[in-house]
Amino acid sequence: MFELFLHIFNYLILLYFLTLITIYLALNIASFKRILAYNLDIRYADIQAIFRIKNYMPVSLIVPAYNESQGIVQSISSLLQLIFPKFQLIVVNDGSKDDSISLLVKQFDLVKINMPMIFKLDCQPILNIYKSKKHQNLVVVDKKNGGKADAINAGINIAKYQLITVIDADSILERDCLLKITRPFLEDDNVLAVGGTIRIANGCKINKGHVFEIGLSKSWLARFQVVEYLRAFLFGRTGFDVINGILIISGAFSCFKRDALLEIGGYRKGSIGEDMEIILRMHKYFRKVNPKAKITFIPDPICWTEAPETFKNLRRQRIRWQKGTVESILIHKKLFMNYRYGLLGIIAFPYYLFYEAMGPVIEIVGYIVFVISAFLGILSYPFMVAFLSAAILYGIVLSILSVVLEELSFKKYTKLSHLFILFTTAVFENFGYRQLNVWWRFKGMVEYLFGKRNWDQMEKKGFSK
Amino acid sequence: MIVILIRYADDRFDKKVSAFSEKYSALFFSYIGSESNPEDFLAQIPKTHINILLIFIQDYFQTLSGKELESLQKLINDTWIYDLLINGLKSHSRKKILRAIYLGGVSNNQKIKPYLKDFLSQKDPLIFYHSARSLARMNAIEFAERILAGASLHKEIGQDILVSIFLEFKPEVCNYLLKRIHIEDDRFKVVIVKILRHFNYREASSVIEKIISGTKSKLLILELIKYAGQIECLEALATIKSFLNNEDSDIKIEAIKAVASIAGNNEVKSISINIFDKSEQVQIDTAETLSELRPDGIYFLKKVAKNKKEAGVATIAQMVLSELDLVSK
Repeated sequence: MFELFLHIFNYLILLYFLTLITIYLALNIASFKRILAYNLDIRYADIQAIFRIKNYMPVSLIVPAYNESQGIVQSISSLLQLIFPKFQLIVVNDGSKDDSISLLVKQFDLVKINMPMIFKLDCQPILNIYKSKKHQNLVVVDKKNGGKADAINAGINIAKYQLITVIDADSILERDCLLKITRPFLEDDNVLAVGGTIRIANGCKINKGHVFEIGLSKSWLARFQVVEYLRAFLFGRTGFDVINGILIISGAFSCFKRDALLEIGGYRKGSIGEDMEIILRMHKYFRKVNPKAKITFIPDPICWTEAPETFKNLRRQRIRWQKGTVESILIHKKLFMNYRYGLLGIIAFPYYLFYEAMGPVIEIVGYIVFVISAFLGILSYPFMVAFLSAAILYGIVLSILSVVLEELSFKKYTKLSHLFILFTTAVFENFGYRQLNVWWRFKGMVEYLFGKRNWDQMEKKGFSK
Repeated sequence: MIVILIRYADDRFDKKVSAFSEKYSALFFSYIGSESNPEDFLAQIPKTHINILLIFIQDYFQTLSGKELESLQKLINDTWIYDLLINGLKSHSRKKILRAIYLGGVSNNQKIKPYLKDFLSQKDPLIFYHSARSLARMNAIEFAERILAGASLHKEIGQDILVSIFLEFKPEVCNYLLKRIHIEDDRFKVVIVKILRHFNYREASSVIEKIISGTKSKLLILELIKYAGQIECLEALATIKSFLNNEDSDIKIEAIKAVASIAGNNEVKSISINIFDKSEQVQIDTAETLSELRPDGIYFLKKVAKNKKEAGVATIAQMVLSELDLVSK
């Protein structure tokens, strides 16, 4: 009986793997087509000229900041230089314990103003609102600590423009990022939110808050993440975008219709994965009312972020991400196989449930069952070798394809040596790094289910010069 | 492997361009803007390096002007490079065709127009795009109609790309577009109005009313309202004012801005009603618009800011006034 169970389980694992391959293949094809078409559009449309004809929607840019005194002045200075006709920059100091606020007051010539809150999203009390005498579009909100979601809600409460862009204080943006991320809103009234592609800044040369030379870190851990991000953004998100099935847009850089955020009550306070949770909530709420409501994604690399270079930090990050995924999926479980939400309910949500949330558990149980089957002598060794080789080979092919797609489209890594390193990394990441990630994600899932739901802050090295 | 090889070949070519630049840039800059014979300049460059020379000079077409640009154009039009260009246009290699189209356009070579005209009916969207852009750079208005027609056959050529092509023409393209505006469908009307707006072309004020009343396209209505506001079209004021009561808040907001731009302080009364609109965005934009209409707009805002019955609207008025207060400090 037990042996029969093991046999069935082994075949279920095989089925699981084959389904995953089919989904990835479909995502690959969809992404290739979409990215190459996007690239043509963005390369040949003179975006700056288009926006000069005042064809834009003004943006309120919200930057939640907690203990960011090390690089906050640099970040704000570079954000003020973004190329966009009209934007308001709202920095929300979320009860920092460092000297962020005094630094900002001094550097940007801030004065207290009596600005009332226009909207009433729930947030911790605001202590002061400042405006800059030097930069008319800079507002700084000083409030009691309440976490990232709470800080964003405070920012939304005083945002006067229709579009809200949320970015992390340490994100490095391309100067024309707002021109690009706001385009989908102009083209389609049904667009509620747009995400952008995040790339790894480790190894790049950065000056005054701008990436001026793209490079690769010497750390293999950072390099693995470069390939991982390429795969996640170029294939994963772009592929799901084709079926309006994006379930997450990165908190490091995302753009929303303010009224949509207000209608669903803003960000959920205390959430571990607030960036995924809000997207799922938006789908759930708006697609019921308007089936054409859309959350989309632009494959253009417009935001650069620092990746952890130590195992300790990477582990913390991955555990937190996994907890966020599990939490969001559990909160919005009603989307599962719900035809009302179109392919999002039928394909995207089940994919996230089975492959992103439960994937590590299934993989680890799979390894254990393999060992037990081998011990009991019921495992076909040629089958096992073939299966494992196919799994690893397929992982390598996927990663290599994402590097190829990057090369065919955006070509951000300009040196031949970069390309060579990326291809090598795409092979090596399947031996050790991927398995380590599975283990951390498994741990994240277990911790979440057993009630450890806090999120560890990652220590950042910083790269402001 | 193939990708690495392609990149390797590209890198090698880039290195050749850099080496060429090091060796010949002094010679090139002594020729640029001078009265020298372009053939004499070319004679000093080995024929095997001509492809590299063409890559080297192509960016300078965008940055140079006047005499310097003329000397660069002579290099293409008055030398044997012209034959190379024609061969490129006749070639079966897409890469060579695209380069020839680009160089022909930036060097304003009128003789290649028939080739470009034929390319406008090609299925390849890139060849269409580059041909249309080159014709626009030459200000070949006679082909504007073909470009519009060709664009409708290429779904890859989005509205923004089409506008970008037309922005390459000189402002007189607006006279032609004005004639076309009644014939085209709403999608192309939007493109045309955007171009008119870019060139700040004022002669189309008479048609605004007619088009706006004959369309249900929100995008077109928005474009026309923006256009009327930008050119301060008094003739369209009554029509634009009728949109102040529109159900769509985007249209209402653009109408508020346009009315303020056309009539200024005289229309504070009609604009100010919208501060009590149900949409908060309309309220904010009305308040911001009123803040620019002095003194009546400011006076009205101060009154609203004290209105306890309309707390939400009062908050918005206070916010806008708080920003003004900062400016005056």
